[in-house]
Parts: sequence; C-alpha cells; structure tokens
Amino acid sequence: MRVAAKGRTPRPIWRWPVVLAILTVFGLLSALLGQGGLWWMFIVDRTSDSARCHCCLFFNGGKDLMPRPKQ
Amino acid sequence: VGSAADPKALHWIKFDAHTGQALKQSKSFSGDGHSFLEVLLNLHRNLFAGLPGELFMGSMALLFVIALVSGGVIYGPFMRRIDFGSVRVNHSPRLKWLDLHNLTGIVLLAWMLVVGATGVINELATPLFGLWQMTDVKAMLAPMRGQPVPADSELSSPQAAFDTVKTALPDMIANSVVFPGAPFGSPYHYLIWTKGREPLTSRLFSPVLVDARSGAFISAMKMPWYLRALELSRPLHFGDYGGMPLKIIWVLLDLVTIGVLGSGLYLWLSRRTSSITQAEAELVASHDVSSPTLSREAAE
Repeated sequence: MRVAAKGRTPRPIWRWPVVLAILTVFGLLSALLGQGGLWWMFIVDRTSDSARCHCCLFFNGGKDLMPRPKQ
Repeated sequence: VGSAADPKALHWIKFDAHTGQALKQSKSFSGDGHSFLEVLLNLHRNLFAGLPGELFMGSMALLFVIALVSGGVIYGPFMRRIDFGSVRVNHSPRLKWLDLHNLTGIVLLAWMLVVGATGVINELATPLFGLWQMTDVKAMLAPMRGQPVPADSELSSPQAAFDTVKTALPDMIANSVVFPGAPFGSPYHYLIWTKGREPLTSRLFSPVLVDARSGAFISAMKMPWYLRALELSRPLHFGDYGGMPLKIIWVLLDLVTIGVLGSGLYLWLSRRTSSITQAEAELVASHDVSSPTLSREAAE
C-alpha cells in the first residue's frame, strides 16, 4: 500500500471509479439493447472487481494490489 | 377475464397461440400473492400496504440514491492519501472497515445508482398509470361518453380482434387481450397489449383499441414518456433480462450492497469512539517511522 504524503489530484483518485462506472453502465445498457454478447463485458468487469476485492482481503493481507514503483 | 360487476372474480388465462389450448389459469387477483416469491415481491414492493406502502418504499429508494450521491461526494477526500483498492488491515478495525466500505461502495456505485433510481420510478407505477388514465385515456374515450356499453351478447370475437391487430400492425406481437369493462381497459373496446420484436422494443408495450361490437381497428395508443421510462426501469431494477447469469450477478451484487450498507452503519455507530482524523494521523505517523522517503516528501 502506498500512502501519499501530499493530497493527490482528483484524476488518480477518480480514474478507476470512472472506468468501472462506464463499464457498468455500458454493460447494463448493451444487455438491455440486445447488442449480442457485449454484456459479457459487464460480467468480466464485475468478476474482475470481485477478484480484486477477494485478493485484497484474503491473499495479500489486505494490501493494495496496484503496481508499486520500485524503490 | 371476468365481469366488471364482480372484480374479485378477475383472473388471467394463458392460451397456446397455435392450438387455443388453455395453458395456465391464475387464481382470482384477490386470491393471488401467497407463494413464497409473491410474498417477497409484495414485501419488497409495498409492504402489503398498497399505494401508501409503494410511496413509502419509493421514498426509501430515494433516500438510498441520496446516500449514494453523498457517499460519492465524500469518497474523494477520503482517498487523497491512499491508492484505489487499498485496505489498511494493520491499523484500527474502523480504518479497515472504512477502506472496505469505500472500495466496495465505489466499485458498485454505478450499479447501485441504477437499481436505486429505477426503484424510485417503479414505485411510482400506480400514480403514473393513474395520470395516464386521467389524461390520455380519458381524452381518447371522451367522444364515446354517454353511449351505451355493449352487452356480452353484442361482443365480437376476441380472436377476430386479435387477428385485426396482427393484420394492422404486422411488426408488433399481440401479447394479451383485456376484455371490455375490465378495470384497466375500456368499456367499449377490446384493449390488446402489443410489443415490439427487437430486444429493446419487446420491453415497450403499446395498447391497441378494437371496437368491441364491430371488431374494427380503432387506434394504436402512443404511450407517454413517463410510462416508457417505467417500462425500461423494470428490467434494469430486477436484472431479469440477461438470463440466469445476470440473475446470479444480481444476487451477488445485492449481497455486496448489503455489506456496504452494514459497514456504513458500523462506521456511523462507531463515529464517537474513534475519529477518521485520528486514524489518518495514526497512519501518517506510522509511515513517518517506517518510510524515510515518505517523511522527506512530507517535509518538502
């Protein structure tokens, strides 16, 4: 886990939430609009979220899995 | 099926479109609602309290949406010091639960907003259909006001009405027939609900009127935008449009949402015993000791 001493700009804070929100809405609507197969992206998206949460909790002692800069 | 004189006898019958064989017959509407899923659905929809229950649950859904928006607003300040996905397990339990709450909450935020907002719209179904009946339907039936209602013996064949609609609207699927005099129909017409053939239009129902005496095609009513929004909000709320895989995802996301709500409740209840500021100070202090690089960055 990396802790930034200074407050970060909004861009890195909101990058992943915005990506996930876009994928979620895209997946939900593509399934509803019936554009065959695209809604599986929603499943992949949700599965990756779930995997990330589980890995954080159970396999890495709750530490972040984001790539760390080498020191 | 039933007569206007005895609304409690109303029920529906599902026919095979090819053979005309009755496939399924419901109990009377007043006797419905006793299976496990029906009980749960009624509990979820209106707490068995009719319209007041619907409005109450709708207001709860609105509060849920407001809570989500406010949670999204305060997510940024809480995440200024840590990366997305971080869970600080080596500090206070409250800090760990805060990180879990933030992580699961932000991951599911868009989905929860969709389900919450469509829940609000769904709970307005009764007032919206009432508005439609008082405006569009009333205006459409106005020219017929005062005319005698057709007796049962005067009714034309429902199959002929069905065929008339199929001929007039070949791109639509006739889905069900409401007999003249039913509460949600017209006293002078067969009301035939139709839907489109495409995945999206198959969710959009349009009523078609056929004269109950002559069997003549009268009109295909255009549904107002608020009822279209209601029709689209149903699948997005219940997640029943992607087969079993989507239903399983919906269950999992519901369970995680309950976890988000539970952790939020825990954080709120424990707010007097430890403050986030204290926890943040503890975290920064711990890194001052263990990470000289960070300390130098902080000093700069």
